[in-house]
This record gives sequence, C-alpha cells and structure tokens, in this order.
Amino acid sequence: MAKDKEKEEALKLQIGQEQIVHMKVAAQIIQHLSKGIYSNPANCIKELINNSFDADASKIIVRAKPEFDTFSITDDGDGMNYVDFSSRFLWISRSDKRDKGENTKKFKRPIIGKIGIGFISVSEICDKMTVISSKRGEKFKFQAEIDFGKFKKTVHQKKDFYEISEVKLTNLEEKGDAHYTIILLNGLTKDFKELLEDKDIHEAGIKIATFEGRKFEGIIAEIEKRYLDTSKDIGGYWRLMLDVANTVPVPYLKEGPVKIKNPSWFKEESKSINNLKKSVNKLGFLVDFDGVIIKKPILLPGEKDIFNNKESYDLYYFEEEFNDFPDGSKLKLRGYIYNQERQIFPPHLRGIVIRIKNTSIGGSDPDFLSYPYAEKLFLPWVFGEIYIDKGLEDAMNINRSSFIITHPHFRKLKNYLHTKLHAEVFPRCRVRYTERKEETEVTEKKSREENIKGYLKDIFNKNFQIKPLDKTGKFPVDIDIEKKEVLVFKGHPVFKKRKKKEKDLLEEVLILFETSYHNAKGDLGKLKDYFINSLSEWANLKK
Amino acid sequence: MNSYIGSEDDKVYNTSEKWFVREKWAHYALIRKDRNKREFIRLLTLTSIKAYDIIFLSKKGLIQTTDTGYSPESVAFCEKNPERYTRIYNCLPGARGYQGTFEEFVGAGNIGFTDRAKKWFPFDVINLDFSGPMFRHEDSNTSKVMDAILKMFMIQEFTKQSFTLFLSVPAVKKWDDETGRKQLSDCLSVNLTSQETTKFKEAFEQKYPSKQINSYYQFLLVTVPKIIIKYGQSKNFDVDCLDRFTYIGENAQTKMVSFIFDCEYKGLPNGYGGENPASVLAKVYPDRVLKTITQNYIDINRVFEEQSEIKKKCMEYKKQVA
Repeated sequence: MAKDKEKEEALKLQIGQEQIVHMKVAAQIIQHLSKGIYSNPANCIKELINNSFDADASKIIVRAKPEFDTFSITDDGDGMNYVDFSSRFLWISRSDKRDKGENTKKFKRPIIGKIGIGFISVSEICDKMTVISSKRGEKFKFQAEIDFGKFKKTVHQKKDFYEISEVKLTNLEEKGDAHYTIILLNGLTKDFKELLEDKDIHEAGIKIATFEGRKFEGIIAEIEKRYLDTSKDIGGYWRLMLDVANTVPVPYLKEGPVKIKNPSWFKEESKSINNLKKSVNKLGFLVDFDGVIIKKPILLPGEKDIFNNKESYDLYYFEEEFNDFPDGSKLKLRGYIYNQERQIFPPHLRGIVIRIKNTSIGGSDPDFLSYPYAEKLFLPWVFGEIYIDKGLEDAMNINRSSFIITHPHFRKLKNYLHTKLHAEVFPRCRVRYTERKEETEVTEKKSREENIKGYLKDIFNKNFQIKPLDKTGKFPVDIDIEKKEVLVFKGHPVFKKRKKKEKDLLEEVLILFETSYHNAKGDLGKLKDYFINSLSEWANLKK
Repeated sequence: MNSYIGSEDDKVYNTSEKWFVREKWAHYALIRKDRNKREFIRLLTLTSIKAYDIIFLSKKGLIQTTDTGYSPESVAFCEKNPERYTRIYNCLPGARGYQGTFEEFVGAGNIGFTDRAKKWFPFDVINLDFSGPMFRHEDSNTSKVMDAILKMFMIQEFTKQSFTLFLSVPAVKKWDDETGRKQLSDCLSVNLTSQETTKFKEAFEQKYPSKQINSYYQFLLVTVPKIIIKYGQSKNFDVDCLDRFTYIGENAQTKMVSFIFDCEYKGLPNGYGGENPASVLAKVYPDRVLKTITQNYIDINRVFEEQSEIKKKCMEYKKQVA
C-alpha cells in the first residue's frame, strides 16, 4: 500500500502545472524514538507507574534495591489479557485507553495516558522485560517476555514498520477474582544501573546522602534538616524516588503541602488547599517504593522557617477558567502559591509545578515558566502548584516533561502566572525585603557601635559615647577622652562619594587611628606599632 | 494480591507440617546465631511466595529489619520464575533477590563463582527448600543441584564460615533420574564396604536385614545426609545431621524429606598451628555416618495423629504469619 502511494505521488512536475502531494512520516521514526524520548530514565519508570494509575490500581509495589539487578512494578489494577496487551504494547502509539471515556471505570480517575508511546522508552533502560497480567474477571493470565536486546542496533533499511522487540507470549491458568499486572525489567542497561548505584559520584570520592531503611517522612525531614539540595546532594536512586513521588498522583504528606503555624492565619486559603489535597488523596493511589510509601515531597515551611509572625508568609489560592481561545477550547486550572520572607529550603521546593491529570510535567520549574521581570531575586522565595483540570494537554511535548511554548494554552497559563506573581506576590515580597533590609541595617549599626565601644573601653578603661555629626571638622574623627566622646564628622570630605559600607569601614579605621594617636603621645614609631596592632585586635574583636 | 500461583504455593508451603519444620528451623537458627556470635543471622533461602520462613524467623528476632523492610545483609533469596520472584520480592523490601536458581546463583557447572555469590556469601543459615527434583543429571555427570551444594561448601570454606543447612527435597523416585539414584547408592555402598565404618555396616544390616532400603523416602533419609557429610568433609566442614523429618503436607501430594545439618568449619585459621583438619574430620567421620542409620527421624504426620495439640500449635503459627 505504501508503495502504491509512493508511486501515485511520484513527482512529475511540468511547467505551469500544479501537482498535489502529501508529507508523510517514514517508519524509521519509530526506530529513532525507541532509542530515547526521555532525557531522564526516571521518566520511563514514571510512565509505567502512570499506566498502573490508569488501570485503576490502588497499590503499586516497586522493587529495585539493593542490587538493581532487576526493576519490578506490580499493581492490583484491572490487568490485561493478551488482546489488550497487543493493542497497548505490541503496537506503539495505538493506545485505546481513552476509547471508553476520559476517566477510569472504578475510581473515576482522569486517564493520564493518551499517545501510547511511554512503553517504548523502557528499551532505554533494559534489554528484557517480562509482563505478567490477569484481567479482572478472566480465568487466565498471560506472560509476555519482551527482548529488546537484539533490536537495539540501527538498521539502515526502509520498511513500512519496524520491529523493536521480540515477544514470547504464553497463556496460563489463573483465579477468576485475580487481577494484576507485573512488570519485571531484566538486564538493566549499564548506564541506568550505574546511575542508580552512583558509580561516577563514588569514583570521584564525593560524599552523598542516603536514607537506607527510612520511611518517607524521615527522608523528607532529613533533607530539610541537612539543607540538602536534592539535585546534587543525594544519590541517583533517591533522586529517582523523589522524582517519582513528585510526579505520579500519590497523596500529600499528612501535614503537607503547607502547614500553617497558627490556624487563624490564611484561613480561607488553607481551606481551599486542603480541599485540593483531599481531591488528590481521594484518588487512592498508594506506591510502595522498596518499602517506602511515597508521598508528594512537599512540606512548607521548613522547620527553620517557621516564624511567629504572619507577615513572614503569603499564601494564595486560585481557580480560573479561560474560554477565549479561537478554537473554542477551554483551559481550567486551580492551584496555590506559597511565599516566605527568605529563600526556601530544600531547593526542590522552589518553583512552580504544573500538573496535568494530576501528574507533574517536568517537575518543579524554578524559573516559573521563564519569568520575564527583573524580580528574579524573589523567585527562590516562592513555591506553587497548578492543577490543570481542562486543556493544556495538547501543549505537552511528547516526552511529557516540557511544553510547546507557542501553544495558546501554554501562553495563557504563562501570562496568568506571571501576572499573578508580578502584580500580587512580588509586591509583597518587595515590601518585606525593604523592611528586612532596614531592620538588618539597624541591627548591624547597633552591633558595630557596641564593638567600637567595647574596644575603646579596653584601651582607655572608660565608657565612650559615639556622636555622629553632619558637619565637618578639622579631622573626620576626634576623640575627647575627658568627655568620653567619639565625634564622627560625617560631613568631612573623606566620607564623601563613598558607599555606605565603605563609610562604615573608614569610620572604624579612623577611630582606630585616633586611638593609636592618643596612645602614642607624639611618638611616630609607637603610632605606627599601635595602629598596626589595633588593626589586628580589631579584626579579632569583630569575630 | 490474590493469585493462582499464590494459592498453589500455599498448598505446599503453608501446611501445618511445614510449620512444624519451620519451628525447628527457628530453633536451630537461634543456636547458629549465638554460636557465630552474631546479632542477626545472614540467611540465604529458597522461599515461598509469601516468604513464610523469613517472616517467621524475623518475628523470632533472628533477622535484621528496618523501618521499611529487611536488611540486605540479613536476607537473600533465589527464584528463577519471574512471577514468583517478583511476588517474593514484593514481600521482602530491602532484601537481596537473585532471579535465577540456586544452581545459577553459585555458578554450578562452571569454574569459579558468580559475582553475586562472591558478594553475598558467607551465610550463617542456608535454607535449600527444594520443591523440584534434586538428583537429575541431564547431560552432566553430577546433578546441578549437588554441584551447587558442593560449591556452597567451597565458598563457605573460602570465607571460613560455619553454618547451619536446612535441606528439604521431594521423595519422588521418578523425579530423580537413574544416574542420581546410582550416585546415592554408591555413596551408601562405600560405607558398607569401608574398613573405617564397620559399625555403620553392622547397624545397617541390623536395621535392614535384607540389605535393601525399600521405600524411597527412607533411602533418601539415609543417603542424602551421607552425601552432604561427604561434601562437607571435602571442604573441611564437620557436618552433623541434627534432625530428619518426613511428611506429606495436608493439601499436597508429595512426600517430603527434610534435614537440618550443623556445618562446623574445621579448617585452620590463617593456616598455622593446631591439629590438621583432615585428622579432626577423620576422627568424627564414622560417628557422623553411623548416625544416619541410628538417629530416629520424625514422621510429622504421625506426630500430628498422636499429638493433636502439636498440630494445633503449628496451625496457630499459620494464622500468626498470615
């Protein structure tokens, strides 16, 4: 058939005559795709877990540790028979998941899978995969052994379709009430295995954190306590676990996502966020990752950022619907933005998470969809999640990790977010920043004065007062030992055209000089010694 | 998660008879733990889908657990079948799992050991609970399982580690092949003709006046320990068969024989001083083989018939772990 089409559309252009032809996709594309669509192997695992979610599974068990010889995912979902398997796995991009509606049958979950291409990525991380599944209500199970190994070499041959694996299928007896799917990955690729084992990091002698035998809540507490940056301070396996936890539709931590110290603060916002949390928890999706029941790793503020003052935080909840797209489509979203008076720790909790069908697209974006205003100072102070209830799906790239930036839904979302940050969130940040800056200046000034006074007392055994004067004098600083006063002539030319910090430093040095001068009583040699010594003592005093 | 394979497995592994044996395992595992001066045992097992033995030993405080599962140093298992392997693994987060047979794990039939065997050995307790035939040879001279057992002694010897071996095999004559049965018979004949084991010959002829062991399970009860003692001795282990059992599970069809062996390493630490291990082992050898005839074995089915309270206790174990 393809040959006929090719013949029919053979170019025979003649001067002045039009010919209509069609652009086509060559089958090789599948072979290229099967070599990798994801930047990170974690995405393959996420896709397999999302499949379990779409199969109405309530419990998923993932096993990989401690040796990473195999990687298995077991679910108690609806299961498949070999016919389902054939349409979902043997043919790439022939997903029938949404043929019967947008939601799953049992739990009415919004179905995540759409294109049917996620499975192809498995060959990126292993050579062999075994699928064992029994469909709800059927008295048999099938076992499929899929061998990717020998198809990994590129074949430079034009074909109508490409074989990307060899599959051995078997049907076996099963109990009628059994329903499950087991996926076992064997022969994990060297690179994937070494990533999980942190081979490169160990070889480089870098120390990284591990959380062996810890429950999820303990892992999160440890990350927060030790100010760990999850993108570099923890091992590849733990990063994978957190990445999966942040992406797939697992419940929130008991106290997450935002724990408000005083229940009277942000009452309305908290109530709405709680409802959002309940709607996610209601999905009933439990993932046991090597014995760790994973949750969304979001808990704000960190223990060290729990302030007594409501003014230290802001919490915004929003729901929005946009209907003004030329194609009549809709974009519906809800979410929250949390903001505190300083940088958020751990760093993975900085940024915005966009979730489509409850699944995050590419994790937390610290750049807030390329925030354009000159307010980047405040970005690390903010975290937010946006759940897309309608739309945006078509704006997703095939890797489910990024967006097509020209898509109208994405542009609308981006503008909405940027406006919200620029008009509501960051003006508050600015006020808070200015207030804090002033407070810091006052504290620093006080501390500096105390240090100078302490120094003078050590030298003269007297309690001095420091009097700043706007006018100029013969010298910029003068010490009146009788009156126990240090006069600082701020109007003196030496202080002019200098930044505040320079003025402060200069003032301190000049006081040291004046002190040395008084002590030296006209002896220039002594003056030199005293001044140099005072600089050393001063440095110690400042510590 | 409910499954056919799980309920079939339960018919073999979740019987009162099996729990009787498991109780004995726990008893001897505790003794081994103390003798090896360890806080927890390092266990290698061929376990059931629901990992009953591990869960039971763990409840007895013999296995090291964490907040999220098991310590990898404390539990390792082998299972070839992908579904069984995954289901066992699901019960044992944190444990070491090898997707292959015990024979493949140790590298039976090949020179040297597998990387995994090198990394995971030694163990304090090894539970080889076979549900399939042990003495099949196919194309080779020795059975792969027997070769694997010999390799197990080799690697334990390499690490100078005394251990306790639990060995269970089905007593189904037709499952084992002729070469296998001959290997066992030869092992018996050697002791019936040897000058070192005249007491064995006497005891044997007293117990079996016809000089034949007619039932296959009784044949295995005598010959299996003999061959294990022989293998152990060849690698400097004094192997003492501590207990022997026979049973048919309540829902199963297969007669089983089960053994508990104490394997004490007698090699010289660092290779200097002390009595030569060969002479130590030669001294104890006649008694060890004699015991395979004189030691009473426990017929668990009969014990249950005669003492119903013991069966009741074993059924309680079933409930506890379930």
